[in-house]
Amino acid sequence: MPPILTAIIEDDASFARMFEQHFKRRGSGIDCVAVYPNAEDALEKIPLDPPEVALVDINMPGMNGIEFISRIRVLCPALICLVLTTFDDDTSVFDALKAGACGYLLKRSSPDEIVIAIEQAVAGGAPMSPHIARQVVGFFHSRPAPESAETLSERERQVIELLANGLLYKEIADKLDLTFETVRSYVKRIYEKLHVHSRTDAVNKYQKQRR
Amino acid sequence: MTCGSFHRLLFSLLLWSCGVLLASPVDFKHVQATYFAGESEDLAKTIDGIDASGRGWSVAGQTDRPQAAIFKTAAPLKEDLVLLTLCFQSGRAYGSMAEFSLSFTSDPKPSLKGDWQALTIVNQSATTGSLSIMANGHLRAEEVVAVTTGRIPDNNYQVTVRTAGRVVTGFRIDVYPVRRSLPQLLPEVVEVAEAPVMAWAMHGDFVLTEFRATRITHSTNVALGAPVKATHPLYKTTKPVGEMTAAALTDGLPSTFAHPWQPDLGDAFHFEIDLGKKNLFDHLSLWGRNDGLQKEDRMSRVKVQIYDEDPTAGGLPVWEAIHREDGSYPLRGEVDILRGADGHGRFGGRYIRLSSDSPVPLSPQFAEVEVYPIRQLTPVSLRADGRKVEISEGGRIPPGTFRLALEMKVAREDVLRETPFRWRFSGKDGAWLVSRQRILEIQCPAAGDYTFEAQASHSDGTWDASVMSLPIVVLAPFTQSRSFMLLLALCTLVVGGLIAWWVSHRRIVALEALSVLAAERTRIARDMHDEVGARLSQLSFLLKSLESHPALPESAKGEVQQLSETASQALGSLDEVVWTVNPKNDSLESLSRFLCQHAERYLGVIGVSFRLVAPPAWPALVVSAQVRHDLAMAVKEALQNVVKHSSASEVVLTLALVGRDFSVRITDNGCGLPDPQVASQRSGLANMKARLEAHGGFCQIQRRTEGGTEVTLSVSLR
Repeated sequence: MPPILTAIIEDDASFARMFEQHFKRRGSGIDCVAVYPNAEDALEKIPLDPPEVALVDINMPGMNGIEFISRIRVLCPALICLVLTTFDDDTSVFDALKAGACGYLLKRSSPDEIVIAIEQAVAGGAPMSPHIARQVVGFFHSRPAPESAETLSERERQVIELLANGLLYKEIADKLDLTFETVRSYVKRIYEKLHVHSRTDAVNKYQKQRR
Repeated sequence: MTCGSFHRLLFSLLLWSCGVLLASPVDFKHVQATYFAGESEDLAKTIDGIDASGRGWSVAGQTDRPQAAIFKTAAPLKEDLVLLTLCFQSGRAYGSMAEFSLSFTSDPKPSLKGDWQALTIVNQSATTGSLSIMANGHLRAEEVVAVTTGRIPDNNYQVTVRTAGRVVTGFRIDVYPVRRSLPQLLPEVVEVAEAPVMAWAMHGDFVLTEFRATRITHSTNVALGAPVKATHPLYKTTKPVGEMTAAALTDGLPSTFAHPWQPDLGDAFHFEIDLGKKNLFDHLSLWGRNDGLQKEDRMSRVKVQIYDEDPTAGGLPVWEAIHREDGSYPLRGEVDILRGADGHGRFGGRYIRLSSDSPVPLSPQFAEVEVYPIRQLTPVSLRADGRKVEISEGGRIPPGTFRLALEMKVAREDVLRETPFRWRFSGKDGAWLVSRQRILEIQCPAAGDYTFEAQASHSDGTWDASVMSLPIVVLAPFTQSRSFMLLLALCTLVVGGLIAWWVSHRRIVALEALSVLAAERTRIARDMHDEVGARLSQLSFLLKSLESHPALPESAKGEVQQLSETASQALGSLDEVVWTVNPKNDSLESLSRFLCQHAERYLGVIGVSFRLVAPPAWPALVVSAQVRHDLAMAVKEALQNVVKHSSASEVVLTLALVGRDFSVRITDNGCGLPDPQVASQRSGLANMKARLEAHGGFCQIQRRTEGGTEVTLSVSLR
């Protein structure tokens, strides 16, 4: 399997270097192609030669990770964005997911966990923890009479509610008599719908700001 | 000249009833009789105030000749109407007077040989049988024959009399012997029955057990009983023989009247009333004939003249009026009232002449002429809550007075008497209130300036035209005065302002302190997170990285692993501290997320299924760092216990908010604790319990019936 081309957007240089060094080690399966110290640089250069995955720190001076994700997703729809977050930065995580991130990583995670998360994301995995699921439920719940394309289907709603209750994908598959993969595809679709909403929101927001 | 014609209802009935209500007994000081049987105490029983007695005035042994008894009043009586009660309650059947008469004297020292005048009887009644007035003015009891009925036929006579305006110093009863008219009913006692008797009783004697006199009304008509003269003879009849008397005009009886004998005397004829002394008049009342015989028209164009000096001796009128100058006359039931303004001059004097030049023959004709002198009320004393107030220039009532007591009198009379008066505070509500109290006790009105007004009434029910006016100033307490109100308002403003300033200042200080604290907490959290946290996580990352480094010697692996784990734990602890310290997390939302994340991660690592039951959103409640920390610690402790002791495969975390109580229920499907009671006393749990109780919560551990354990942790969010 070819190494996964990954860019790191992180203002903490020592942190970025540490990740970079780990990925460079033999057998990590991840190729760190670039490290950007800020979102503006990344937004300018990534579209020129997009990697497969971007690890994006949320809190950065200047443009933050959330805004960056919402913009880069327009320029490079195929780019998988994973948010790097600290432990108590939960609301931002959900904002990032809405903006188009496909998952999140705690900066506290061990090197192995990070590598596994990147590999899963590339493999089409859509991890969603219960508390994120709860926020997703809340998000769709609070949407007033959305367009049919943007609402969750009955199955998706069942899946997300079970997720919010702490069930694992496997358990949901058993419960709903589905395969593990189907559950995961539902979650992916939920993410996409979340992104559709949020991207529109973000674009609107962005345009308003620029006007 | 205009003469007022006043329609007036007859007030006598009203006054009669008022009078009865106010009736007060007359005290007698002495009783004397021409003859009495028994001891002198027996005679005195008639004025002892007790109606029934076995003893009293009786004339046993001398029932064949007239007898008399006189009752001297303790004080002269000035009442117009008096009720006399003769009680015969000795228990001896029919022992009441058969025929008697009543008279009075004005003698200063009444005696049997004094000057006695017959009393005018208004009505009379007996409780047994009936009383009737004979032609000679005597009262006669219906003849009865003693029969046995089982009921004692005690008798009381009640006779209402007029004193015709005279002062009474004594009453007199004359009793006359009578003969029975029904001797045939008593054949066996015919001899006895034929003898003259004093009572219809078998024994022919009476026992007067009590003689009482009760005041009914006092008339303010000074013409009552005054002598009246006429210039010419008055009307007389031959069949039956009778002649009008001028005294009919002042006898107090509307049923008696007088007019001249000759039909065409015109104003050559007049009546003249001598009041005995000069008075200033409030009003005169002229009564026409009221018997319905259509002769009211003889009271028209009446010339009324008032003199100070005897007109016969050349006195000149001081007041003069022609009443009903237009030839009108009062309708039946009307009483004409004349006041000073109806004529010219000073309304008052001693002599009154009444004549008429009316073309109606036999004019003038009057039933009654009443003269009511001015009854001006004057204040005597004023007390405010018992303290005397000077009233010579109007009363100034001290502030805070509750009750006023005003004593008034009728000018030139010693007491106000029973006639009512009316009073009001002019300028308050203006309504007159009637009172009979000699001393008027009223609630003190609110602070302000008033004029107390009062009017006396006359016995005919009219209000005297004069009004007593007494200015009264009720002083406002300082606490009600305008300046005090202003001062109070000012003080309120100043104090209110100061309090408001102080409160807001304190709040600002508190808010500043709070925001300073929050800012400080935020800074500490950020510093710890950014500086310590970032380096620690790097350290941890590097150690983990080192763990799997191919160049790491096998001998060092264990130690590096330990080092790495320690770093991870340190990082975890730091995370929690940062989370706790950061004021951003002082919310229920954050707390619930933390608990959820912790459980998810902790249980996920060891492969225990985790279920979460929680509302999708939380109200914006502030949860202090202390509470968050303590609850988080308790939940961690509880989860550790589950993992360590229960070997459960599934844990359900239920978060709920009821009112202000936030609870976390951790249920597992494990083997359960051997004894929840014992378990709850373990030091970790005891500690947990104490922490929650400090926040108004509790910790409860129960064994579930379906297996496993249920731990409930609760805190109160204040």
